[in-house]
Amino acid sequence: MSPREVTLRFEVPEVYRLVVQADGDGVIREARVVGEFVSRQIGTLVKTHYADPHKAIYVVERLCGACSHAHTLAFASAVEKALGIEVPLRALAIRTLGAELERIQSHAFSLSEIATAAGCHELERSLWGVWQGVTAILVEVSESRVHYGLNGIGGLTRDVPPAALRKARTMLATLQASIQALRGEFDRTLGERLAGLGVWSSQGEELPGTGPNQRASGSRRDVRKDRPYLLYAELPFDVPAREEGDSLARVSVRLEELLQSCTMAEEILKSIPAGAIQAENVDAAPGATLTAAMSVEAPRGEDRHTVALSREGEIRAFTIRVPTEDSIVGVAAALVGVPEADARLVVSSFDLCMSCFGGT
Amino acid sequence: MNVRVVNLGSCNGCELELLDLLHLEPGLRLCDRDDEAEVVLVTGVLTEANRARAERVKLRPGVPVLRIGSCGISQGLFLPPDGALDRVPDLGRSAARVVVGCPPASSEIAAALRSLCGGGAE
Repeated sequence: MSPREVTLRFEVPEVYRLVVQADGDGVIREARVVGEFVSRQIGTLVKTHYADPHKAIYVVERLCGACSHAHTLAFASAVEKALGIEVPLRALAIRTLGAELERIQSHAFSLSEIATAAGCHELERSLWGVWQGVTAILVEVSESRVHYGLNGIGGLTRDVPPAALRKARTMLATLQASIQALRGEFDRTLGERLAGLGVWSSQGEELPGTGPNQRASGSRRDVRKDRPYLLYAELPFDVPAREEGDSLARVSVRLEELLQSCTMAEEILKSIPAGAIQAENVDAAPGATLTAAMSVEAPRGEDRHTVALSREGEIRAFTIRVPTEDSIVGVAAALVGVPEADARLVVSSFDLCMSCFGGT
Repeated sequence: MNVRVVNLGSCNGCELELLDLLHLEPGLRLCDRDDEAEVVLVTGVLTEANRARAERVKLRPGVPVLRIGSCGISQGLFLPPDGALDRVPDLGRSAARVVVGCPPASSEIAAALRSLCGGGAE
């Protein structure tokens, strides 16, 4: 029984491969994901070439096209914490808005990948319509489609005009209605096929990390609730969770989170405070710790950036821990017992992101 | 038309726009085989892990190559001020066609493809 390689995702063999061992009936007995092909060692690059955090943030944003806002948020917040910088409330509100819109964009992409893997092209087109819809909102808010460039050290790189925020709110209402309709469509089209498929069982133990995959397997952990940052302590929201741990549970959690993020974005848009968008002073405050770590709940789970700075504010050490490090363990476990023909579907349901994996 | 995307070290930003492109141009189809490719799109900076894979890409003669985004064209932000790194692959280097942006919008890639393939992306 020799390992077989299965190429996945975008049909691009340079991104990652799934290596499986299957029995004579084509049932997977062992699986592992081989990745890090596209790792650009951004943690090292920052230390060696972009020691100024105001410049480094642009490279950090390119850790990932799907969760660039989460990365710049974790990075900027860690630097701000280390230097003792107070970020104005308006900036915190717009950062929160960006984070929830990014979650919608990322989950829409992830769910459309699952529909593609299942061969449900009509459903995939509808989900991509959600991606296009939220991308249009993000263009209103940030003037960008993928790398929003909103976060800077000490606040935002630019303000969002009131007219753009009003337009974003109207567009969000339309988007919310279309997501609501999709929930039923997903269940009808794929519910039966995904139920019981690719179970990641917690077996009574605490699963590593946070994120939709863990919350589909019984975990209730979410950095936004457990260690609130931005406006999450004041913002009302639930943490959707399921117990089954199968592909359907992972889809359901993401669908719930899509709706939840719409409601949260709507709530933020109702009352964005006026005021400054940038801290007046971004130099190290007296008594600053110069070392700090910051975790944010990225669309795929906990994204943790740790920095150490000199008193002049130069980066001396920088590490990144990304959610894929936990989910990659889950996908290998969940694939055991799955027919080879369904491997792509199960892997898609884990929404692995390889661009940030091995980033330090 | 079969499109082979060679992602040599991308943040997936260009790939998201390429997915959007597939919705704008339903005649395009992703493929992972060099011998089936009718057009090749190169994204990302060349990572160490992909150096050998980039060399293994064997295109049929005459297949047009389009370099997408700052990384695929010039390393973008991955070319630090001292120019210490060299991560632009040879693949398609001779091809003059590029789509600038970080990432370029799907509509811009669509326009470049149409122009590259003689007015038809079908």
